[in-house]
Amino acid sequence: MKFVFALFTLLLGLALRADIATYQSTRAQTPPVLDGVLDDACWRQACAVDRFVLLGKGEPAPDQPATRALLAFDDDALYLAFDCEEPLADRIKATATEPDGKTWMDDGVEIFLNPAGDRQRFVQLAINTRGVIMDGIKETPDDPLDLSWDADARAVASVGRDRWQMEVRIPFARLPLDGPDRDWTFHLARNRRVASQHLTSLRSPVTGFHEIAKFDILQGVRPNGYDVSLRILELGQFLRGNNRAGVHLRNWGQTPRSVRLRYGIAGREQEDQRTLPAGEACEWQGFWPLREDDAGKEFTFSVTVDGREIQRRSRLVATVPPLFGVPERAVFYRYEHEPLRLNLPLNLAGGDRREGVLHWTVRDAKGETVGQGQTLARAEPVPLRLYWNPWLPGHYVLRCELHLPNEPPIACESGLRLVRNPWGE
Amino acid sequence: MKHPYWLGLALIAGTVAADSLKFDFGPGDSPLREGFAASSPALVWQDAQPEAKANPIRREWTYNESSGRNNPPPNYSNELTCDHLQSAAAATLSIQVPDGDYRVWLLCGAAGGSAAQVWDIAVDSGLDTATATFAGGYEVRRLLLRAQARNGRVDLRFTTRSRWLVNALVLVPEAEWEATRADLLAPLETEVFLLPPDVLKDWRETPPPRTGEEPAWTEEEKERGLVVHRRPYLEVVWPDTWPRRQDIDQPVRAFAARNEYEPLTFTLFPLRDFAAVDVRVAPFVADSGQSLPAEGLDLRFVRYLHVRPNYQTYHRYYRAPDVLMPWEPQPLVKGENLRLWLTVQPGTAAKDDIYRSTAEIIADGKTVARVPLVFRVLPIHLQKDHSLVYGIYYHHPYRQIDSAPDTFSRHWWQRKAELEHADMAAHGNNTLVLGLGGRFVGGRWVFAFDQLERNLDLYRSAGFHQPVICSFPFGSLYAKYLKKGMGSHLRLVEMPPPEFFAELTEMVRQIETEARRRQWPELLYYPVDEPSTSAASVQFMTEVMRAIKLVPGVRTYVTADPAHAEFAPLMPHVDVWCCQPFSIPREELLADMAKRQVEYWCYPNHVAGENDHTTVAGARMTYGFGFWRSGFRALTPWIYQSISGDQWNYLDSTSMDFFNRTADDAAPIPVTLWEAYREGIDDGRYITTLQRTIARAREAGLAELADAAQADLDLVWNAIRVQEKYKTDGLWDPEAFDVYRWLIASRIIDLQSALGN
Repeated sequence: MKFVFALFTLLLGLALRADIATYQSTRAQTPPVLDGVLDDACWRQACAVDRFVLLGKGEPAPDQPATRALLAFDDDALYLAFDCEEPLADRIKATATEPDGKTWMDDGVEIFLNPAGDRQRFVQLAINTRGVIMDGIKETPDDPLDLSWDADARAVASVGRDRWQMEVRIPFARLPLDGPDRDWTFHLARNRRVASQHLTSLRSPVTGFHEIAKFDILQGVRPNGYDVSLRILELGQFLRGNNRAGVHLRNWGQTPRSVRLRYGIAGREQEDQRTLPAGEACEWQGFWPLREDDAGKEFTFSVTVDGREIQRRSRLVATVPPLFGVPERAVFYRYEHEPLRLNLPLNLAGGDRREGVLHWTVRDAKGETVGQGQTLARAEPVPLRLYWNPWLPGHYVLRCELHLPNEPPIACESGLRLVRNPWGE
Repeated sequence: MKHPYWLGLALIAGTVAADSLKFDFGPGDSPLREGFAASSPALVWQDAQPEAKANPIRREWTYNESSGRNNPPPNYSNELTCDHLQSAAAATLSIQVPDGDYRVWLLCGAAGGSAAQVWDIAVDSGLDTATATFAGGYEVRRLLLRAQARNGRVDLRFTTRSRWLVNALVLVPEAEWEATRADLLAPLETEVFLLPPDVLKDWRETPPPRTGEEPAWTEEEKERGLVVHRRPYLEVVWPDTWPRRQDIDQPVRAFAARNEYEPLTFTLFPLRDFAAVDVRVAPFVADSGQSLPAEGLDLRFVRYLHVRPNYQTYHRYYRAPDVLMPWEPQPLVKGENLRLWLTVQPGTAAKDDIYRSTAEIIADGKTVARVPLVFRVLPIHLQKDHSLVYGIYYHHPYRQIDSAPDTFSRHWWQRKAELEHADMAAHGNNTLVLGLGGRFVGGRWVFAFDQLERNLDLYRSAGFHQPVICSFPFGSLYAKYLKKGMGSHLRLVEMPPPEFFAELTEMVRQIETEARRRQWPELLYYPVDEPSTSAASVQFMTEVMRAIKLVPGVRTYVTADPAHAEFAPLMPHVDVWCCQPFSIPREELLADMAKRQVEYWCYPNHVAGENDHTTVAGARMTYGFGFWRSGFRALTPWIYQSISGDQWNYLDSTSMDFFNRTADDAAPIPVTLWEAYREGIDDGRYITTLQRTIARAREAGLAELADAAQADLDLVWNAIRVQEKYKTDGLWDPEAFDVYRWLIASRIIDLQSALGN
């Protein structure tokens, strides 16, 4: 009986595994010229993925034109080529023109790469037939796609009468690589907006493009010299004050490596240099300041190993929210013996919260102070429990001052109104 | 194979006098649950012999051509629920067992077959009874009752008003009940009412992170074993939400106009397990001696259900507060909240006053707490802006009446429709989405005008008066020409020949002529739901809408976002755009409505259980203050009720169930979001009442008071930050809704007083 069970388990495992295809990547002796024409020598021997099926169905549609993808790599980059038949080429949709725009709403391809092979952290590139790229990273499958990640990829497409082609270069320097000799997992997809078709390269049945557990395997990709891997834990809250960035680093190599971390607002970057011993891992964290006048500037975070940049994240700081947010409301019931509870949003980076003290005063309509107190600024929002005497219905002014070490107090005022409660209490 | 294990069972019954008996009913060749028997000489049906039926156990997902998606089976049956015995006649099941006390556990449901069949099961053991009434082929119920064996047998009498059914029976000696329940029945119930183990292993529970911290419990609280805490009903109480110290043992308060409903909520947080907790609400009495009518009180509890994070997401779930179940004593599990929800309707005869009551909490037979309840009735009769449209998509129960197989089922569906319309009206709705059936026979279109008229009669009896969004057999017309479907969101659409559009115009002309002859409310023509932005879709829709509008006086309706540039060709042919709330800025929207005589409606599906069942505050804001400031004229969410699989299981079937459920007596069982709609509409009624009272005050020369009231109304207006989709972020804090409402109410009272009424 045990033998039967073991055999069943083995067969079941094989059956499940059979849905995950394995591809063998090939090294390009000469990188392709990115011109959207697939006439480069490297494509002749490249790994081919040519079974694309309808998302959700697991089979090709009867009227589905052919799709073929090719993969190759050299020391520094992964190259992909796509050859997409399209009988409706004159109706191709290519609306997105800006990087990180809605390219997935256009005709184009999507590339999903999980270089660590851990089926956790993956990058996504959606590229339309203009060569416009939307790229992002998910640190875990449940995270939202972080568009601050930039693949530094380049794509060029050419559209013909009955097909379009595309060549893509994705540098290893920006990919979330793990140790050398890892098998990657990946997924290629094609959006045919002209026919409302979504095509997937996966053998396993999937109902969405992000099902990383069912990504196929890509073997043999060997970046040269990328033996330090990193995982970004956080970049910061992008709030006024000292924001914390953190990263996990591992040196897979046989020799110590010199790691340089550079981070902060453009023009005020900070650096940290350290040596990572062979075979060791560490967690690093640093704080970077953000000021209200940094709105419109770019934040960058880069990691360089022995002079070669292996990771870069950048994010435009469109706005820096004002330190004090608007209280959730301005009108409160008056109760004889209960404090007034008010949540005050405080847009202060976590690095400064422990040190912050919030002083409050309440003035009545005559300008006389009727209550005052203080609290710590740790929670977000800061819960204020306001007491004053006499408790009378009317209009009041709440003044809050945030005291931070080595900084002058920062104040805000907001109106409060007390009304008699409906229950005569 | 359901082999008759008669001999074995007879031996067991003879040697081990009081073992549990387990039966898995069904045809002889259907799967048999391990450890269960199909029959036994000890088991005899009398009076009538029920019929055995079976359905296949399905796990395969199937491809849906229209949606382009793979779908799971509608339910996950197992050996017990894949088959059953059923009958329309009363029958008695006699089971030979040693004399003594027993518990009976029955599974009934998942019969498959007609969706219109209403199953009605009553089981009487002579000592106890249990009943269940539910519709369709996928719902499963568990029945529990006590029984006593005398003269060596237990008799279970099955009766019905339509048909009864039973899938499985476990007869447990009283002494073994607790152990059998824990070891056998509890895992079985998880399998039947959640998912079977082979499916559940691929699902992951992803609860929201626990917030707050555990209070330091007092010795008295530890002794009591539970604490009572209050939170505004707009604030979510998750199963593991920690009570806040300032909320413990506080009075629960609310206020309402006479013609209003208002919830009072409080929550029990047990520090240990309780077998049964009961809650008894005393009459609400004012100091004057006046009391609120008992029929105006409705006590329920918030049932947590396993929900998916998105209605089309599989393999992840969390437990969310959702359905407002009629109150009955509940067990309490240590550390898991139980929220009570008391809706008070003062009634137009109620005197304005402050009424007080208590809710007595009785845990395992001992009173452990008395919660003070305070309710003020305001001297206000709320008015309503009847030009606003509150509609809702609706699967009409009348569809089932004609195919219902028996009189009881027909009456049940009729009652369901009537109660749901009354419920919609009580919540503030004034229209709904209906459909006109029809088919092409004998060279012409024959429409089900009488059926639509029957629906419209009910619509009118509920007091509805706004235009009816009406689908019609457009898909059949398309199939007539193209010999296939259009696909979900027109994903498969092809451009038909010109004759198609000519016939469409003629079809609409015929419908419109009949509608006018029968003096129906205005029908908004709604051929396709959510057309995509693809070129083929837009080109097709443009021609469709153009063809419809060739009929003089008709208006077209489309569920699409006009902000998408791709829809530009549609613009001249659409009269009502139903888009996401509140996707167009107020000024832009009002200007376009004035300039082009179009209307902007919206379908707030984001607060209809589509993705999240806890956006209660977002729902109230969407329906109340946010709606007021948005400039939109109508709210029409998907959907009053849409059941896929078992109505009590969100994890089975293709998509999650939507919104309200149905009780055995066909009455609606609301979800918290649905109650928040009413609250939002009531916020709007307070605003309208104040606006009209201000106008009256100005006419009466009370300018100063009117200005002060208007200033407060402006204060509320300025506090509203209109969002595209109000959910949980950027809202007012929960108590603020009531404080602002009170600000408005107190101005109404002041003005009314000054006006002398």
